[in-house]
Formats: sequence, structure tokens, C-alpha cells
Amino acid sequence: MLGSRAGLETTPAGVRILVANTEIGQGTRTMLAQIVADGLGIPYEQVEIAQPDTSVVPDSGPTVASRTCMVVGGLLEKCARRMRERIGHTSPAEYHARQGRLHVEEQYAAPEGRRWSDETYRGDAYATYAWGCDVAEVELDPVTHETRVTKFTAVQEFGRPIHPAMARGQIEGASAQGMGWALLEHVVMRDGQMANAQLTNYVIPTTLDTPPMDVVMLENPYAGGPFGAKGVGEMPIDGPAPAVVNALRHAGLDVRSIPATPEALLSTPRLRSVNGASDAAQEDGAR
Amino acid sequence: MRTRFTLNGEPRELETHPMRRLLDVLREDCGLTGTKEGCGEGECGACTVLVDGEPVVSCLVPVAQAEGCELLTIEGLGGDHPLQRSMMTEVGAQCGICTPGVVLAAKALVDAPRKPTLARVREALAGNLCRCTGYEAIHRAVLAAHAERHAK
Amino acid sequence: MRTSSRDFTLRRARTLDGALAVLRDDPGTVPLAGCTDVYVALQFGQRPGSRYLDLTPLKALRRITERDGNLVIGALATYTDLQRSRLVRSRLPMLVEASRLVGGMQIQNRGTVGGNLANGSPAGDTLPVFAAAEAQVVLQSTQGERRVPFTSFYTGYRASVRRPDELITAVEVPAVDARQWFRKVGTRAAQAISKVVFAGVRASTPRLALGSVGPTVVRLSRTERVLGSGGSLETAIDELKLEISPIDDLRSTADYRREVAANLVREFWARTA
Repeated sequence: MLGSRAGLETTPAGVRILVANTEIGQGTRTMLAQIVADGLGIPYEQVEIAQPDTSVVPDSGPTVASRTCMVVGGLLEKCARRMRERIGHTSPAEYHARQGRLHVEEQYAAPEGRRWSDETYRGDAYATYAWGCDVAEVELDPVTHETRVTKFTAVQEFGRPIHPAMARGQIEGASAQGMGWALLEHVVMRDGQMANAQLTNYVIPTTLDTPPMDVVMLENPYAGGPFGAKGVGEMPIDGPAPAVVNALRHAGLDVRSIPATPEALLSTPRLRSVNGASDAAQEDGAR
Repeated sequence: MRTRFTLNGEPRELETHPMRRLLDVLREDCGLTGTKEGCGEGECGACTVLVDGEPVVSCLVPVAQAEGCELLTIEGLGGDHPLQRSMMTEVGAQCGICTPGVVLAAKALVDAPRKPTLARVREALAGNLCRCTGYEAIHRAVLAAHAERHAK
Repeated sequence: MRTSSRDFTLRRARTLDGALAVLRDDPGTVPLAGCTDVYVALQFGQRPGSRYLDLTPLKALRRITERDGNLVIGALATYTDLQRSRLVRSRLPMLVEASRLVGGMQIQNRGTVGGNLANGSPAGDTLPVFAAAEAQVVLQSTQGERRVPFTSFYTGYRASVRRPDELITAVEVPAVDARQWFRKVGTRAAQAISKVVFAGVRASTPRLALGSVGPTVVRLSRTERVLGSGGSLETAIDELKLEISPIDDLRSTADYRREVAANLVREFWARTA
């Protein structure tokens, strides 16, 4: 990962981004183009993105661990600044017309003081982390043992969002998936195969299952990321299930696994008192 | 069998097996690939099209039953329906597979003068699964499109 | 679709008589309308038949009317039709509720009452409603018409008294003059297949029916007798547990279904008191 590279080249219309990261709906292309446009001080429309074909783009490392924005976006920010130093106050398109193609490339280097080895894969892979806190309010139906999340609040700190509307979408989508995981989504295995691999039998939340969501993006610019950004892709899926389970424990159910389907809740032991926190601590031997 | 219908306002006539899925005829014979196949089992709503104004899942419709009907696919909206625009501005689409179906399922709510409640929006879209957005941005897009469409 | 359509034939019915003649001459023909079961089966690689008869041109079978005090629901009435019908809304609100919870809007626009009956899934959402409402199934063939009480329509898992040459043309529902209550339990709030589905009518002898707790929809006649003769609710629940035979499957467990079935009867009793 330390070898990750990203490139930028001038074109007759502006610039082209050369990275290997793949857009699958998470907004990578939009977000990287914003970083480059702002880094160069040119309109967003003058930035295009090469197809992530390995004969054209450098190895930018994998699309994993919510690193694309912080790591690859960070390299592109450096590329943009370097290109700007080279071309001065002319626009990339003008420069391209006069001087021909200008290509710059940056390679990732670990921030000072951090140790990581690509040979042994040991050390601290990431320079920083994002943080989150989720709050789930649930209702339990005593007739059917079904749980509904009635309200969900997600507070996330991932530096400074590059595209707040898309970042919000990442948080809302991950929260819905996390709640589905907490309550509905049960993989049934038979003879080593998933027996319910149909959308009829493996149920994911519908519009009537997801609660209204409050999303708070705590802005706390990170000096090591592009324009203060860290990553947000995966983190928001981590909190919802623990939040839902803790809400069920607060309601007096000693839930120890997910999904907390109504079938599972039917035989879930009751906590001794419904005052979840102290009881839970006792159960866990924490007192 | 010869089948005739009106597709996005244009009369169409084609020769095909009557039991082929309307979904396949739209994508393969008519070249309109905006209609997506999500599950093929009527669960996800990605293949939603309007038949005589009503949303149906085209994976469960034999093409013979489209005979004489008015069909509207996402291509028929032309890209400039208020809901298509608000899906962009509110980021109601991420991977985009559910988007054409969502737009067609919600179109009636946006076009009707009466302002839909959030509960009504949720109910109307209960047949359209989305794995990316958590639905919140889609709901915002539908409500914003309604406001735009009926702004004085 | 996993099954190639080339293996099949589809004829379109032009008249009811024509459709009945097709079924007489070729009783292996499978009638279809909304296709919300047939095409799902085809997608899963099953073959409900190889020769199909499309009933959708028979518009007369889509009507919902009132005749001799009965609510007459044509077999081709869709779940959307049922929700929009004033007659159904005023006479059989539990059927409106059941229709509202079948799939999403796209399925409700296509799926039909006749299809739900003919498919005969124990999880069919309208079936407990018809069982509790003492409906009659109207069957037609070239030899004439007959009515079968809904409670004797099914003979086993997806099996009924309908002969292959007969077509379900309507369901007749007598007036229900007591409180109705319907509840579907599918865990997911929409697009769910019932884990347990209940319909009840609080008549002097109450009428209760459950789906997804046995090979067919179950009318709880012994439970009803206990409740109707002044027995305690808990005695009735004990009886209920003998009347149903739920199983473990991909979607739920026998224990859960038994427990929730009992809770639904308690809830019905409390809410319609």
C-alpha cells in the first residue's frame, strides 16, 4: 500500500485523473474530481477521469478500508498542487495547447513517525481513524417479538467531508444495512451452501423498515488528508447493530448474537431487571 | 406471435414468443436497457415499468399481456422529469440499479397535485429495494420533486 | 428467466366459454393471470406446466359486485382492485388489509384473488380472510358451475377439489356482521411472505383462521367451539395448539409460529371484545 500511486495529466479540455480506484456508486469519481478541481483552481467540468484500466492507470492500491479519499485523494491533491506549480497561472488546457501533455505522479509515503512494512505487512497501516457514535430507539412487539427501529441517530467524525450530500448517503446507506444485519438478515446454510440466496428468503430492509435517520457530520479537519478529509465508506456500518442490540438489552433482553430475529428473541433470556446498563455489566462480570 | 403496444409514446409491433418476459423484450428487442433486472423474482422492483399508467415488475409479465397497452420505461421520461433531476441533486442514486424502477414507482406521487406525506412515499416505494442509500435520500428526492413540480 | 420460454406455449382466452373449452380439451393447461406465482416458479427453474392459458382478456372476471346479499369478487380482481373497491372496503375491511400487505404496489397491481386461491400456498395472505368469512369458491367448467365452501376447498398442500377442467371464476362472501381483525406477521414490514397470518370474525361463535401453520390454511373450528361456548381463552389456546401443525423452514420456526399463533388469537380476542 505504501507503493500506491496516482497520476494527473493535462488534456485539450483540462486534466485527466489516472487512478485505479473503481466507482461503484460510492461517489469516488465525483469526490476525486472535486479534489483535483479545487487543487488546481479550475472548474469541476474540466476534470475527467480515465477508465481504471491497468494499461492506462498506475497501481493506486485497492479500493478497501475507506482509504480512497484519504490516501488516493491525498495523492491527487499533491499532484494537483505540483501541476499548478509547473503551469503557473495558465489553465491546464492552455498549457496543453502550448506545451503539450504534462504528466505528474505521486507515490504514497507514510507520514513521519509511522511504521509499516509492505514486506512483512506489519506495523500501523493507517495514519488515522474516523470515529462514530450511533443511537437506536427501538420498539418491541410483545405479540410477535418483532423489533422495529423507530429512530436512528448517527454521529460521524471523518475529518472534513468532500461532498457532504454523498457522505450523508454513505452514512444513511450503511446505517440501513447495519440495521438489516441487526434484525433481519439471516444467512441459512445447508450442506455448505446458502439455502436462502433469493431476495424472497434473505430479507433486507424496505422503505417501511428503515427509520427516520438523523445524520450528524462532525467536522474536524485532518491535516494529513485532502482538504482535511478522512474516509467514511465503511465505518457507519459498524455501529448500528451494537446500538440496536444495546437498545434490546435496555428493554430487558439478553441478546448475544445477531440477527436478533423474532425467532431468536423468542428464546432469548430476560435480564434480571430492565435497567439495562447495570444489569448488562453484571452479566458480563464487569462488577 | 405478433405483439403490438405503444412504447414511450411510439407504436411498436414485434414478432416474439408470447411468454418471453416483458423485461427481456424491452432490453433485448427494443434496446431499452434502462429497465434493470435485479432479482427476476418480483421482489426488488428494479424492473418496474408503467403499463397503462400502473407500475408493474416487468420480470413477471409475459409480453403477450402487453398487447394493446401503453408502456412507459425510464427512457420515456427523457431525463428531464423533476424527479430525475432531484434524484441527482439529493443523491438519491448510488450504484443506480434501483433508480429507474424507483423513479417510475414514485412518478405518480410526484405528478399528483396533492403533497404526499413521508408515510405515503414510504408505502409507494415499499416494492423497490435499495441497498445503497438507506432510502432517506430517495424520500428527500421525491418530496423535493413534488415541491418543484407544483411550485406556483 | 432460468427456464427458456421456447419450451412453453401460451394461448390467450378470448371468451370464458373458449377458455373452458381449452381446459376441457387439454386439462393439463395451466391458467395464468397476474403471473406473480407462475413466473417466480419459472425463475426458480420449476415448471408449473408447459401449456398456459392467459385469462387476462376476460375482463368480466375482474368485476367486484354485490349479488343476493353476497359480495362477489371476480377471480381476476387484483389486490389493487380490492383496495380501491368501495364494496370491499365497507363489507370486508380485513381483505383490504390483507391486500395492502401483499408484496409492493407492483405486485398488488398484478396479483389476483383467483391466483392466490389457485396457487394454494399455505402462506397465501387472502386465504385466512376467506376462511373466516365463510366464503364460497365458484368453479366453472363446460359442464356448468358449482360452489364449494372455502373451508372444504383445499385437500392438502397446494391441492384442492378443483378439477383440471374447472376454472375458479369468483369468490362469494356472505355478509359479515361482526368485527373483523386481520394480522400478517412477516417481520419485514413490506414485501414479506407470511410467517403466520391470521383473520378472525367475532361472531357469536367466532370464526378464526390461520395461514403458514400447516399444509393448508387452517380454520380453527375446535378453538372456535371453546370460545363460542364460553370456555376460557387459555383453554381455547390449548386447543389451538392441537389444531395447527407448523414446521421449521427457511423463513421461520415451528416454535415461533406456534407461540405467535397463540398470541394472535389472544390479541384478536382482546381487540374485538
